[in-house]
This record gives sequence, C-alpha cells and structure tokens, in this order.
Amino acid sequence: MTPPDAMALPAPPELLIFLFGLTFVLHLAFLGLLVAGLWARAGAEWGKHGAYLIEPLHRAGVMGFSTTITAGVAPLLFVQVLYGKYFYSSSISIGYPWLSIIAYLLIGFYSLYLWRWRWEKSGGPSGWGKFYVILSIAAVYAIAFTYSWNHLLSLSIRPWADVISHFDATHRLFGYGGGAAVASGAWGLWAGHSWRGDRTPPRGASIALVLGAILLAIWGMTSDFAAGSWGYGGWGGIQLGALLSLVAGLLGFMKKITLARWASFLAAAVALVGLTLQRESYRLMMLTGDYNVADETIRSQWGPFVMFGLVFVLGIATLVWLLVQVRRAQTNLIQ
Amino acid sequence: MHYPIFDPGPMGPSTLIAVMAIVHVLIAHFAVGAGIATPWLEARAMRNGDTILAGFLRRYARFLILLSFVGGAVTGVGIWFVVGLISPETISLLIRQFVWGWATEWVFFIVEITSGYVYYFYWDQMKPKAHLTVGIVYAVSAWMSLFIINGILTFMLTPGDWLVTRSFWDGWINPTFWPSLVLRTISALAIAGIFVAVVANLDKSLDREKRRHIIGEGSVFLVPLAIMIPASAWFFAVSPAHASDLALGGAVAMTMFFGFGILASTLVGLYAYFGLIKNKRLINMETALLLTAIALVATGSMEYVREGIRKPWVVYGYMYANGLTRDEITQFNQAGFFASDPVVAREVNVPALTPAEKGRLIYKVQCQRCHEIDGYNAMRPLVASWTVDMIRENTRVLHRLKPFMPPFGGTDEDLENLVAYLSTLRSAEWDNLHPERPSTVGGGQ
Repeated sequence: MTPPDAMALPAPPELLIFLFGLTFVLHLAFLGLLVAGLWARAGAEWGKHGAYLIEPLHRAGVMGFSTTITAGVAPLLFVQVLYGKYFYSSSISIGYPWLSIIAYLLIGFYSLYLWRWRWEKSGGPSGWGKFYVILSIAAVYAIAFTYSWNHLLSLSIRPWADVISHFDATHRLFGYGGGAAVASGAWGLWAGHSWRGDRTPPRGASIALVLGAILLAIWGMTSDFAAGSWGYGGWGGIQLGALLSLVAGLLGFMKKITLARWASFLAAAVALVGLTLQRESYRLMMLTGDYNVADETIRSQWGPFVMFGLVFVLGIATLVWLLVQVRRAQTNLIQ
Repeated sequence: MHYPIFDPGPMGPSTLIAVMAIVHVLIAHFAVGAGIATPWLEARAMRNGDTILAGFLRRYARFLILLSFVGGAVTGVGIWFVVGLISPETISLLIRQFVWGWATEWVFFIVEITSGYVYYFYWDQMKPKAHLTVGIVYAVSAWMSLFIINGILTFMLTPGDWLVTRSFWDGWINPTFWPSLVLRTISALAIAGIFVAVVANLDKSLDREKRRHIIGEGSVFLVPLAIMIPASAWFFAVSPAHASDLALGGAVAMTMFFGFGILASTLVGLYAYFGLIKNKRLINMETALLLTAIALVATGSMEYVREGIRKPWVVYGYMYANGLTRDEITQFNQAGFFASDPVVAREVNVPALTPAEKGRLIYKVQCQRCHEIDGYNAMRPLVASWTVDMIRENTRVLHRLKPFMPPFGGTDEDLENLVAYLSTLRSAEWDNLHPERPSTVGGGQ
C-alpha cells in the first residue's frame, strides 16, 4: 500500500488563508503597540515627559516588542504552509541579510532595556538614552525593510537574482508604516491617556493618527491594489481607515477622548484588515499561472485542528483571566 | 531539489544550525525549568515565611525575562530561519505535517509570555495567592510548549507508524516521545537550578549565609539529573537499533559526546545531592559559571548526539540528511539527476556543461549540506589522497562503506560527472608521496 502524500495541505486552503490573514492582522496590531512604545520613548527623550510615564512606557515598549514577535510566529507558520516553496526560495536568495533579522531583533529588544537602565542612571533624558531610542527604532525599521524585501521577492516567479536588483521595499513601507502609525495612535489613546495626570489624550497619539492617515492615503493612491473583490475590498479598507484615522486624530486634538478612542480603534481595525486583504490579493495575482494553492493535494487533519481550537479557546480564556488580574493589580496600586 | 542552495561559507550549514540550536535549547530549557522552579519556590517561601527567598525570586524572575523572553523567543524564530535556509525540504515537511501542533504551541507560547510579564511586572501589586496562580499558569504553559515541540523533534528520529499512515498522532506521539520528554524535563529543571546559583551570586546585596540558603533551596532541581542514565537507557531501548549502535560504540565521536553528556549530568546531580543538600555547601560565582559551562557543553553534546544518531536520515526512513527522499533517490537512479529539473540547474544550459561542471551541480544538491569544499567537514582533504577509482567506488557504495552516509542518487553518467568534479579536488603530491607503492597498484588513477 502506498502511504498518503506527506506534503499534502493539512487543511482546506480557505481555512489556512483565513488564519494567515487573521494572525497577520493581530501581528500588525501588536506592531502598533511596539511603535507606540518607541514613539513615546522618543517623546520622553526629546519632549521631556514627566518621570511618571517612564515605567508604563518601558512596559509598553518591552511588551510591544515581545507580543509583536510572538504574534508574528503564527503568520510565519501559515506562510510556510501555504507558500513555502516561494518563501524558502526567496529567503535563500537573500541569505545572510535575511538571517540578520535575528541580530536586529536582539539589538532592538535589548536597547529597550538599556534605555530604561540609562534613564534611571541619568535621572532623565541623556545622549545615551537618545542613542538607544534611535537604535531600537533603526532595528525595527531594518526588520520591516528585510521582511518586505523577502516578501516582495517571494511574490515573483522570475529568476530570483534578476528580482533582487529590481525590488522596492521602501515604497511598501508607506502602507505598513501608515498602518503601524494608526495602530500606535489607537494604542496611545486607549492606554496612554490613563497614564497622564490630567487624563487628557496624548498629543503624540493624535499626531500618529493624522500622520498614519496621510501615509495610508499616499499608499492607497500609489500602490497596485490588484483585481478581484479582495483587492478592491482591501483598497477600500485602507482608504476608509485613512479617513477614520484623520477623524480620530482631529478628535484627539479637540480632547474628545471617548469619540477619538472608538474612531481610532475602528480606523486601526479597518486599515489593518484592508492592508492584509490587499497583500494577499496582490500575492495571488503575482503567482497566477505558476502556483495555485487550490490545486494542492489536501489531507485535512481535523483531529489536530480540534486540539488547536480547544487550546485556542482555553488560551483566550486564560489571557482574559490574566487581564482581570492586571486590572485588579492596578486597582490595588491606586488604592 | 526544489530550492536554490544557500552556502553559508567555510563554517558550513551544520555549524550554523548547531550554534543556533544549542543556544536556543539552553535558553528554552531554562525558561521551562525556571517556570516550574519559580512558583514552586514562591510557594515554599510563602509557606515558611521565607522573606530572603521571596526577595530573591523577583530578581530571578527578572533574569528569566531578560534571558528567555528575548533570547529564547528570538533564537526560536531564528531556528526556523536557519533551517529554512539550509534544509527547506525538512522544515517544509515538519510544518505541513504538524501545523496544528505548531499552532497549538503558539497559543501556549502567547500565554507563557503574557503570564510571565504579568508575573514579573505586577509582583508587588497582586495578592500573593493570585500572583502564585499566575506563576503556575506560566509553568504549565511553558512545559506544554516543551510537550508539543518534543513530539515534533522526536518524530525525526522515530516517526513510527507515520511512515505508513502519515497520521499526525502517529508521528507526534512516537516511540521516543515519552523518554525524551522525561530527559528534557530533567534537563530543564537542572538548568533552572544552576541559574539559581548564578543569579544568587550576581546579587551583591546577599551575604554568604543568605546565598547558601538560596542555593540550597534551588539545588533540589539538580537532583533529578541522577536518573539521566536510566532515562537514557529507556530512550535508546525504543530508538532504532542503528541509531543506538552509533551512540553506544558504533561511532567514536558520537559515543564520546554521549558519554560526556551522561557523565556530566550524573555527576552534577550527585554533587547537588551530597554537596548542596546534605552538606549545605556554598557555590561561589566561579563554580556557578563552571556548572553553567558544563550544562552548556552537556546540552550541546546531547543535541549533537540526537542529531548524529539519526544519520543518514533527517526523518528516519523517509528523508535523508541532504533533504532528498527515498523516492527522489529512486527517481534519480532511474531517470537521471538532471531529468528532475533541479533548481540549481535552471539557469544554466546543462548539455553545454563539462562533466566536472555538471558534477559540481550534483555536489551542491547531494553533498554540500554537510560538506563544504574547504572549511567545515571539508571535502578537499577527504579526497585529496584518493585515486579517481577510489572516489568512484567509494561514492557508488557510500551508504555501505559508511552507514551514516546517504546513498548516491543518479545514473552511471551522473556518477561519472560527480567523480570528475571531485577529482579536481585531488592533490597531486599524494600520487608520488609513497613511490614504494605507486597509486596505480590496486587503485589506478
């Protein structure tokens, strides 16, 4: 008896693509938290915020970095399942620059801790503090750039060497930089304002929302948005996200915190989903003729999927419980 | 076959994987072990009203976060990156077979990271019982991550019935799953115990007696090392006979590494019991660092053995160490290497190449993953003294001559192409080095 195909897809492609998109949005949302943490640090170094902000800023930055990496593991998993053939080939074509992401991650993360340590030692802003902030921002940018490089390369079915010399990852950063700015503004409005003594919306969050709106609008007007309902839906989401972000930013400047918060949440959700839809639509268009995931042999592993589903529900419940504990801890602190 | 080839340079692909894997295994095992040790010790401190231990645990948790939440997470992703570059066929198989296992592990990982941060950042702000419960959540999720990954790792050595059924469960809960889980849990606890000594010595606010007390509390986690020998015996009892033979005398390097790993682990376990628990000795910083170094080398040794005893396979009985499956080797033998349209040959005009140039492409796919020309496990010094006939015959029956090598895949013409390439690596000086027995005798040129 011939054993079944070992390389068959372990689930219907629609399910895998859905989970890929969902976890990618989650990854982008946490990237927003990371960016918010970095912006706020820059604000503390150059804008001289009060010292009471430092510990929350530190936590936001560190947790933002951690959660971005952790949330990024899932889309990295699903991209390998769905498009491994292209993902591995493009990674190999880049080689060491691709591996250097590991170094960027270490530099970016540890410089957050070094910044905190330096702040404590200097008792406020310092030259070294500014250096560590710049270092962590540069590391995050380098990671984003290298990922974009690999992603764009993995979409091309032309010889890899030919593509390496003709890629443009910088342009793509308009879209994702815009998305990150909107998400960071939303995080800033939701988490940041409660840290401030006067409970007013942080000005930086409103600036991030307006800037995000501009970047997304530029991206929407200059990028290929591909064909099909996904592509148009994604493009529409990006434009709507830009508009909502602008509104949220203006509401923030007007100190209408409740409205600004919900508008920013909506803006981030719509923009990130839009970016993800556009990304996948573009991928499908680029690979047309060479690869169609629907043509793969499928051997669905429903038993293991149920295991994942149960653990996922249990995991969400545990995370909610942990958040309740955090809330109680914060209440204890206030009392 | 289906991918371009990544050449990392003289250090070789194996070194790159080994460095990343050893660092990650050490940190990840520490995360699991410390995850169990911290709430355990916290409960003891609460029960005994031990303020010295309670104060120390917060610093220990900070060390855990600094080391494992950054280094562990990054090197974990790093292993995917490195293996994706060096052995995409292997990682592709593991991802497709176990995607729901990886995804489940991801959920545990998120809970682990979140509970770890809550545990550390809200140390003084939570009620003691709630704080301890958060610690237990961290411990369970960290150990469950190990539980899942352990199945995927052991699958590579003992895929068991998966070879026939291709079932997720058969591959995951495979013959070496349980003994390996016991070994890794022991190792994780031991590393956590060693780091208690390191962190206690780093803390300058502790005097000698306080340090002695804390190290004594942490040393209990080193004691399980004493059962490494029976646990290893269990592991080898359920491993393929060929793999056990390699570790137990069949391959000198493998046996030495295995012996060192077991001996070091057992001795540290005995030292913990007699020295630290019974006689309450103090570990100073130098000794703590020495123990850490021993743990690092022992971990490296055991990982080397785990990788080595699988050879010539990367997934036992299915895929060879060079990423080729049994079916692919059969196809090469029947239709020829270039008929399979390997990626390395797509941008060249194959018929126009010389035999040595064709052989170079075959070398890239079938040999380069383990043998750099110069550098790691280098090919040049291996064949420098061989005659052309020796290269031909050795390559033809490589899997019989050296049981840890995969068979050559290809037709006679492919073999001649590879021989032509390898012959360019020969050194002329060897031909005249022993004139009393010329190379032409019994070997020819």
